[in-house]
Amino acid sequence: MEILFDNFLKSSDALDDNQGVTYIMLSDNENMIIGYYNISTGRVDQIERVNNVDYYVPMGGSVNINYLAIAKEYQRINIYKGEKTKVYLGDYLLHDCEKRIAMLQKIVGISFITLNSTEQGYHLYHERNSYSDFEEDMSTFVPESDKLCYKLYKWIDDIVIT
Amino acid sequence: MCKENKNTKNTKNTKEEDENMNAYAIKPNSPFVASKPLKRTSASKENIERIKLMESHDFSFDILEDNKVEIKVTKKK
Repeated sequence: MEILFDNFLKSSDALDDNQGVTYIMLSDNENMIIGYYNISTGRVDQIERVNNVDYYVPMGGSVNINYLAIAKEYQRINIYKGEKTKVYLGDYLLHDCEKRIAMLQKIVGISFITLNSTEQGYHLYHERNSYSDFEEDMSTFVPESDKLCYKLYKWIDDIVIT
Repeated sequence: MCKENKNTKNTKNTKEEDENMNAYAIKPNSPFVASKPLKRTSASKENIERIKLMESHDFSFDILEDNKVEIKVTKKK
């Protein structure tokens, strides 16, 4: 199943630093958007139940990848073939995002990258870039729209920096 | 390298093309809450290899008239 963005880049949220910051990947002559991502800060909690009362204990700060998208005609494009692996546009865009988040960790101190992956994006994150499934506590309320996606995370200390 | 989006009005992407961006991640409607501590996961060998490739090369993307992308890859000095 493909999920297409409904004109996010033209929405006010794309330029609203209170909601997240959007980074765009442009063609060389800067007249075509190849892909983009939008990130904002968040938090991961651990739920602890004491005497039938739920307590939300902060596990660590996070940067959430709110949106990551590639123009339909450029997705699954293999941009480089090495001896042991291939690099796709999605890998390139995600790596740029991860490098930026790793830099932020040195400034504000954060533990996790979190994201809500579409079915289409799951392979990019989970199989190719070592993201783990988020074991959600099923007693918490999960809106129907989130059930169509996969919540994933990565410890920022596990980002590969060369 | 991606740039912060300050204004996209100078790009050729039409409204229809923007709507044809394929979503790999979308904003969740619920918080990230786990029932137990989150485990660390080391990067796979292939993942490390791929990142080394990306870091050792420069990539440029030229959009041709037929809308196809021409990718130039040069090894960093």
